[in-house]
Amino acid sequence: MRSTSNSGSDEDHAGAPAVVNGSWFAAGSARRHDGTLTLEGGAFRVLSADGATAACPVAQARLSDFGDAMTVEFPDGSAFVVASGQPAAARLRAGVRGRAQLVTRLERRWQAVLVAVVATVVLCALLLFVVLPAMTAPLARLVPDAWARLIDEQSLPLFDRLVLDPSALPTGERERIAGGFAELVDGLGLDTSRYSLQFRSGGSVGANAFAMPGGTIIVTDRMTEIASPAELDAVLAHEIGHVELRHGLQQILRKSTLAIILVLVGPDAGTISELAQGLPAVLLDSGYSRAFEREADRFACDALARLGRDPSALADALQRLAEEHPEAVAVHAWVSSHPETDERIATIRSFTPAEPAPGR
Amino acid sequence: MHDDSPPTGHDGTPPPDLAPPEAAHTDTPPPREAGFVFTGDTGEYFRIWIVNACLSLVTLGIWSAWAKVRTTQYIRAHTTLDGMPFTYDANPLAILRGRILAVTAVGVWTALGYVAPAAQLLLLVPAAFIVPWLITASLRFNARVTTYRNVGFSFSGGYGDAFGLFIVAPFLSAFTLYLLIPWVIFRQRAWQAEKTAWGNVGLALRARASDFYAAHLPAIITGIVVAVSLFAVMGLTYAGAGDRESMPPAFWVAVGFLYLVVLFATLVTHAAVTRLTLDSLWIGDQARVHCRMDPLRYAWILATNAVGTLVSLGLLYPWGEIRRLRYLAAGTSVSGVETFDEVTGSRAAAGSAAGQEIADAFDIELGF
Repeated sequence: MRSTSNSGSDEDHAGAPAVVNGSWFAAGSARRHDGTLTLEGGAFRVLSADGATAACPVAQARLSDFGDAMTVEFPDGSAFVVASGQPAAARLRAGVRGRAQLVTRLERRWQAVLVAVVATVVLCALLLFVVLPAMTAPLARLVPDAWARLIDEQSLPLFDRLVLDPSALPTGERERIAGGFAELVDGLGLDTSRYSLQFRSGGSVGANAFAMPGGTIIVTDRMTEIASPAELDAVLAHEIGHVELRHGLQQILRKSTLAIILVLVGPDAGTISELAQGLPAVLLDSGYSRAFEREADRFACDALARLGRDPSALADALQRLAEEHPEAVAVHAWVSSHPETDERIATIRSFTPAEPAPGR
Repeated sequence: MHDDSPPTGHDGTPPPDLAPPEAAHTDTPPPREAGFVFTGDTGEYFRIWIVNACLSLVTLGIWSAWAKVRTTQYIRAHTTLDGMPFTYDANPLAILRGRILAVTAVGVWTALGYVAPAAQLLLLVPAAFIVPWLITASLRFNARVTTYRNVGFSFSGGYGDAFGLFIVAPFLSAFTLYLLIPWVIFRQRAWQAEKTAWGNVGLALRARASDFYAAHLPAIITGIVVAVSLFAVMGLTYAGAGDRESMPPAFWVAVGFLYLVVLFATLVTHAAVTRLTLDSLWIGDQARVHCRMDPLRYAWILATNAVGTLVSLGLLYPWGEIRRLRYLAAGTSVSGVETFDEVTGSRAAAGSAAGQEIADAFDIELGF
């Protein structure tokens, strides 16, 4: 019966029948009828050892085919499960191949798989390091100031309860620093009403300053002790940079977007441990923070230069902070949210203003 | 939380049906035992997984519903019991609808967490009423799309039971120092089994609450040992260092090690509960599941899979899944499979996937 035709599907429709062993199940029954399934002349025919028979045109049957696990479902609700490990199963598959989906064909080609591996890695990298950062900056600007302030109002009491204590600074000292801060914000032509300077005793946090998304800036007592007034102003300029560049909001947007991406393309929740999902997020987050720190440094240098002050005060402040927290530099350097301090200090010291300060 | 289903000994008295039924019929031939076999191939699964993951990325997540159906179909088709595969017939559109709902819910929830944590706390109240619905919807969906030997599964658990078992009971157990948790898990699993049917045959979990306490014993012991060592390590270093800021690196190494011990103990407990649940599962009155896998070995597979997935930035995930399923299937079998010939019922029919998808998004642990 071998014809000279080399067209596979023609051969299976008109030529030699494909016969496979397996089990047939009548509609609505789990009773197993071992037998054979024959594909011949464009139709399936079942013949079981106990005499049960069934037939159906190929076009009406549904083939669920995953490698060696094949099931043919018939329109009347009966089904034939093909026993695994039979070479004839390939002929059966060829007989209905015309209806194989594009995805199935892609999955079978190693070239397509290779492209998928490369494309997935490249797309993920692009998404995480280019698209997401580029997307969140304009998005963060769309968030109304009132919402950002709401975040501050929610988190400040939380910080107060968990890590911070009331400041022990004398009122005169506070007024002096607040005055310098107002001068800074005003001098830069920024909206003073947006900012709120808060003094706290840092406890275990030590010397530090942070900015919240809505314009609240916290300075610890220890910070005001170790930094000279010029250095403190430089640190405040850096924190103003975080607020103006909307780093806090961007971070929130990135985290939320990442959570949504994980829901969509990540492996099923539950099957993989929290550790595997959490750690990349932490690493990614610290990577984003490094970029934010550099941006805020540049903002501070620009701002100080525009006000006719020396940007190197920021480098001096960083130097003092590094001396104050030697263990932070040594132990946490690899996941630190602050890039290697030496590198930042060097960048700041080599800063030259992009254009001469106008009107000076 | 009492219902009219068969007794399972949750009130402490040994249920009468714990005695193996085959002992009563010594004149009939012994039940035939057949194993689960997982025939999935790492390379093949990787190809399916990566092609679909790539398509999901390119289509901005839309394809992810189809991707889920394809990868699940592959896993089910290669999970055989007595040589017969399982099939998964979920409608990708139903899953896509569920995913859109899930993404919206996650987005609103996360945004609220930043802007108004108080409102998020308030939302916990309606959430407590929605979660039981999610759980029953998810279990119903998963059962309805699964077929074995041309007969579909079904789930008939109601909202009231789910609310009692997944909201009220865990909440109350908080007032007992969580000592009730193993009992709660036992009742949840028993409910899940009793309300699941394969065709006209109901499943049942024939275990005692004490078995679930025994399965949690390693976790409880580890918890106590770790807490004591943590205090000891902290006390020692605190005495030496004087203040919290200058703890030696050895302290952090010790804390990290204890953290890993706790993580591994969690995995061992998960493995022990999985084994116990499977090993206590009956399919009708004649057939029962046996699970003889080693919880330590299974936990080790889970741990190394997590590390592999992490180190390979996710690319080794398919390898881990295949490895895990192969081990789980190899240790699991069913005796009394000859009774399956008498089972009747229609094939799987697709349902709404909203519950399933939201449950996944919020990491609600379900399934055996």
